[in-house]
Amino acid sequence: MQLILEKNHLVNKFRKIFSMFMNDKLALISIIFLIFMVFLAIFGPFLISESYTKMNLRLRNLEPFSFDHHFMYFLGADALGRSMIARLILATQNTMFIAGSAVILSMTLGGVLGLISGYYGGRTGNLIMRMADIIMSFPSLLLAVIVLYMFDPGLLNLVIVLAFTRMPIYMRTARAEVLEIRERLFVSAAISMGASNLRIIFKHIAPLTIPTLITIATLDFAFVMLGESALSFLGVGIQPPEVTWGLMVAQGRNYLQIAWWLAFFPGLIIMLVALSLNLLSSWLRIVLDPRQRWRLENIGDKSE
Amino acid sequence: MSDANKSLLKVDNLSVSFDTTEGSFDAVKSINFDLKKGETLAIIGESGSGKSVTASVIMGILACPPGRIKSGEVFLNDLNILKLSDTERRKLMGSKVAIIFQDTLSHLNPVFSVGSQIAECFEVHKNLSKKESWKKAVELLERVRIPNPSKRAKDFPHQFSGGQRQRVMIAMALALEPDIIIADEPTTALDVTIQAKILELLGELRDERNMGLILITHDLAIAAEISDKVIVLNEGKIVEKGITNDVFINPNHAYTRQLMDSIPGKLIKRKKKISKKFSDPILEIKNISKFYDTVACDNVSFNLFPNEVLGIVGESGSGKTTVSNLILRLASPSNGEILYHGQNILNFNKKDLFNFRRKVQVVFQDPYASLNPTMNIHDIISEPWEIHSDFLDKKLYNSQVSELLKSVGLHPDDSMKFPHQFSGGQRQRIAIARALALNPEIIICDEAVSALDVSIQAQIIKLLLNLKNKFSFSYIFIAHDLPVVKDLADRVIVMKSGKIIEQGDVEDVFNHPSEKYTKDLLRASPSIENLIG
Repeated sequence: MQLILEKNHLVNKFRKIFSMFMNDKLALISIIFLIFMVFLAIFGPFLISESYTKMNLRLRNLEPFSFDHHFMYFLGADALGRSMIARLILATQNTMFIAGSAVILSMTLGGVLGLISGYYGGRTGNLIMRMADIIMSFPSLLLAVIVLYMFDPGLLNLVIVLAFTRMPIYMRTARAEVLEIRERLFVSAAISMGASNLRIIFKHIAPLTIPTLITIATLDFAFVMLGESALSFLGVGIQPPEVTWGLMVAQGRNYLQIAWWLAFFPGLIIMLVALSLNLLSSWLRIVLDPRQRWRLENIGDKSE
Repeated sequence: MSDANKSLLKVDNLSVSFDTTEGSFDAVKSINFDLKKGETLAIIGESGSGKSVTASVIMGILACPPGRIKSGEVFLNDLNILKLSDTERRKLMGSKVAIIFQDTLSHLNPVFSVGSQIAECFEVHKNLSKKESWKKAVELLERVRIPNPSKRAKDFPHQFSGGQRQRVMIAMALALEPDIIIADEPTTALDVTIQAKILELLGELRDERNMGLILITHDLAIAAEISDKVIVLNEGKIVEKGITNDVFINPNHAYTRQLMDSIPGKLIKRKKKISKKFSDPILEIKNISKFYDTVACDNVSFNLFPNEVLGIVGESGSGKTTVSNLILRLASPSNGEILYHGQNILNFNKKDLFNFRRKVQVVFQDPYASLNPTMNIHDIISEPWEIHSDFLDKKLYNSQVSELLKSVGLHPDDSMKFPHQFSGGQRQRIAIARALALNPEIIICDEAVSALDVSIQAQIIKLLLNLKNKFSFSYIFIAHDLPVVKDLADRVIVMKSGKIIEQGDVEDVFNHPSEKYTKDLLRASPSIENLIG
């Protein structure tokens, strides 16, 4: 009985989320596109097997949109005659993993540190904020180069370095929000009920800061992809033959005059992913706010 | 028709509706009234009754869309202003009709001095030189009795107190010598003594310049004090209209009578004395002081006994909220001690404090801010049990939440809704339910009914009294509104500038105040009894 009830509850919840997507077509398209990208990231490498390393010097800088060759060459080929499609698909996994983990890591760490700094204030708060200042005042690229030169320039180190340098935005935003929310009456009410600090931070304050942080994170996603490309370009990021979209943009830059498609397609994908994430985040912002949720809930023809 | 009898303003069969996503909603339903020179008309109604919409139509500042004037005519000196073009109307409006708002801080520009804001009216509308305009602005400030006007004119809005800002607004409204002044809840945010002075000033200016005054208010006592005629609005309709004295002495419509009955200070006092000799106080406040940059609370001592209601009254800045924050340990006093059953709560360790907080609960003034907007009602009310996890078994949360919702007059099905789906009064009920959840010994109500409409206020006060009889605990009831305290409290403390001026049984303090300040407070607070006699 209990189990059936719970199952029904889940089904209802799922249905509700689906209907909220149906009421925002842009968010629906975005989520479909993103699911497709995640699918590519996971299964892409199996689909294209070894074709991404296959060089074909006769097809160097092959122009896109021609059916003369194998369909893998539909989007053209790079300076070594490798299929653009294969390389783009392969890059999906690395890029999504690096940018995704770096953004999630910096958002979580930066958010929590910002919450703590804003809530406790005083010495702890100042210490955390000065840490943010130090990170911001140190040229992030220089820091990354030093760290990655000293350690192994692997995937994990890259993620950590990128997350670290992007952290201050989240710390500062979260802190600023907390300073305002902390003074609200419902927080005083919770304190007078005897709520612990952790409870107040995570139950009362954090839910109100999350929409802002998520919005920043989606914007940051594109930034991190390009930041990663700069490091890869300098040779301390991703090592060839591995590839990322950012690296493809950076490498394609040299050929911009004669082969625009080398930089254009990876750039386009970066933009589309960032755009979808942004649209999805504005949908999420409405869903997370009980006062706004009705905009997506009641189905019907309403003109807005 | 002699000039004196001519209508300055005539509103004929006015209907306004708003187009919303759920269809059209009628805010004002065919209302009629008129206003003569030197006359004061009070428009009385609770929130949502359409009184402010009526004012916006007269001012020509109704937002269309979503608003739509369905029918009716508004004549200003025999000119139908609804038929004028926008430019013509704007020209006329600024100089003939002026409006004063409740929220002065948001209607004055914070980055210009008040003098230059008033002078601007003269420069723009009358093409006076900068110097002349400034001189006139200073004269006006003097007229509304801002002390030291030539110097204060250079100050910015935030450097004035609330009452003074309202005076500045009045000066600004007077600048172009309008025929009509509309005052939209002009004194709601002000203390009683200030309120009395502002109302006096408005009346004086009306007589001096022979203007028409439209006073929009939810407070019947204010209307009774200064108006000649009243109309009572309910859900967009005029339910009663007439000469002020007639309406208040002999109200015809049921709604007016209900409003009259809601006026605090009328409840029949149950005569009962608690034998204080036999019961020890729950809470003893001994000589507490709190200094910020100024003295917020100075050498305050009082006791709270079981099962009594202690009222603390005072104007803003009198330190009453500071006292409540000190008792709640939201702030620590600079001096003094607070004893709870003989133990000093300031020396409590974490565990003692935790147990103390279970016994002392609070209901804040602003029900819009005191409930977390991201939590539903079930989570809000059950939060105290989650914090004090030994109080109640998790399985009983649902039934207990329903029980509490019922006892504050809400429906158990409401528990899945969110705070924004409730009205102000309902939210305050939710806050009360939350305060009851832990079965406390003391509930502190910090201006708990000040933000509510009169009839809602009356309901909440009744609820508070019923709950006290049912669960038996003590209230500390903090308010600036004396009649409310008179209804509820057994004993009352009067505070001024952080000090206790007077304390004693409610009857004694209200009927035979011994201090001058208490007498002033009582006299300043408007009441209908004065009028009825």
